[in-house]
Amino acid sequence: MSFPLMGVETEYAISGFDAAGNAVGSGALAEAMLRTAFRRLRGIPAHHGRGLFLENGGMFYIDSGAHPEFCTPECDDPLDVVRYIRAGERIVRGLAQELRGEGTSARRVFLTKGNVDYSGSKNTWGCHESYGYRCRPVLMAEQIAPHLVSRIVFTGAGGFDPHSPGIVFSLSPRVYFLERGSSESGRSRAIVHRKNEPLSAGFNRLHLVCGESLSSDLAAWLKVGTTALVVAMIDRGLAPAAGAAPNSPYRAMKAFAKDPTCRVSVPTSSGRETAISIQRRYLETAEAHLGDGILPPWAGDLCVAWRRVLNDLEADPARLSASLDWTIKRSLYEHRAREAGIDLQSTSVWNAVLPRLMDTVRRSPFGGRRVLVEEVLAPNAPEPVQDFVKRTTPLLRRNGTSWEELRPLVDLRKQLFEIETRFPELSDEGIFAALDRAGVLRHRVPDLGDVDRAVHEPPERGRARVRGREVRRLAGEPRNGYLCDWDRIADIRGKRMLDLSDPYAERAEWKPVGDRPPLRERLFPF
Amino acid sequence: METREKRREEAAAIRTGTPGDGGGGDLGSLREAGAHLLRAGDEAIRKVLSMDSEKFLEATRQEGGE
Repeated sequence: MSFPLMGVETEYAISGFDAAGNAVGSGALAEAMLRTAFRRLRGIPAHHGRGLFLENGGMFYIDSGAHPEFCTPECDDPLDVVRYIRAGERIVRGLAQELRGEGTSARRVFLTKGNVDYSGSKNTWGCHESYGYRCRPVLMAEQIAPHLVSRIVFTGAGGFDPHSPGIVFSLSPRVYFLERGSSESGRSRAIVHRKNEPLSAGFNRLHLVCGESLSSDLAAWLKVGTTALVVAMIDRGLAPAAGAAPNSPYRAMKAFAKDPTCRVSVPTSSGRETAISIQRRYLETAEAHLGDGILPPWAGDLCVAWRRVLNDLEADPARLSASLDWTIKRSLYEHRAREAGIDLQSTSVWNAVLPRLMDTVRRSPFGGRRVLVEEVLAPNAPEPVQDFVKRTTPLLRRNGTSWEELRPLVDLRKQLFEIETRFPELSDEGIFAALDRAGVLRHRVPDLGDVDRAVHEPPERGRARVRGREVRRLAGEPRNGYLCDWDRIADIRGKRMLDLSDPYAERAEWKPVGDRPPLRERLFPF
Repeated sequence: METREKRREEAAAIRTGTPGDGGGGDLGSLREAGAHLLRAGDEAIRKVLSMDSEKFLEATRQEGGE
């Protein structure tokens, strides 16, 4: 039996600094990176002209917002997906290192893979997943939602609410940018959307935008593996989370994201469930069907790790403080705050007061301009602001704090946001990378395989293998003769096409397409 | 079969760092490991943290993506 394929698209954030330390625009850097890719990588241009399909079967391109993006080839094993995600990081990092020669003024390039901007822009970019399946899209969307809202207890990247003027730690900052539980369209950021763009014949494609890029190999493996298993179970009619669906998936996900104890429960059709109890329902269904042939061969290993992580989270998430993205960050950030004399777990009063303070400041003669803490607390501050400060002083005192602690809190917030931005940086200076080198993390997956090889070699099975081999063979040909998409390669001059609509294609069979109206438009009718 | 199952258990234990069924190791070793992580984190942050975080965040500001 062939099991459905899966893949991940990772958007990166790039910025740069010139010799004087001034910022160089992301747009210019992204375009330079694209030129470098065309010059240095072995590939065939993507049909849209914004990237290249590569010899490892994946694709590099520049997505909206000037975000470089690497899409893994389609794989049938989540460990392979993680290996190709890491291979993509090496490819993108290699391109970034060569940007000096591409006509930009950048002397230092900053490349990172977090999904949230902390400068105040309230912008986000994605890490999307794709899973093949055959059942009705409506059924898949309904039954996978409980998994997606609860998996963040091990798939969350960790970080902060960028919309709050306080310091609000979140297991999954991407949640703050999701607009709803489900959507018909792929245009909105929903937990799950029912729009189906298969990119292959015979299968639907579940395309998820609610996930985040992860530095921990264990977390990345569990994210893709558990989701692929859940998709497989739903596809085979097992209804793994019957009765555990939160009444409001959107509200449930937000509640789970705010709770680093992983104990909060949400109302469901059968009572109340925690994120862990929902996950256990999926896990137990999977375990009950190991060995009966309906789940992939890697399911057993995945379930063992899944159970261990859930057990540790339930006992005490601190047991995983060296293993998952959000738990590593929580340890670091709480420590940083303690060093600054601030207890992060006690900032809730500030998180409640500061939005009201900012609203009062905006309505005052200060208006919408930026104001310093010192201006707000000055004796000559506008009267509404003085009133607010006076009225709120007893509340702060009851909660063991005072206005004197506002400046250290504001400074700490900025520092934490910088540390959070630097955490997943793709360089030796990245904080996660430094921790990994120091040997203090426990995130690695022993069977991950050869990442260097995955930079150049396609997967062992499926159409990605055929695509990668053809890309390698044809990459030396004049580039404007070939165009590539996920389900085809077109030879424009030779008037022939390699059909890769079968995701399990094993051979490259080129066929002529004749002389009907303009060949390029027929092959790529977009 | 027994060797493969044992190897799978060991691999899973290595992945999660837990030697047993959610046992998580003894408290002393966990605390020590935690202290090492925080010291390494302090050092990593000290090497890269800018003098002006607000300026750094503004300089690395990103447009929205997908």
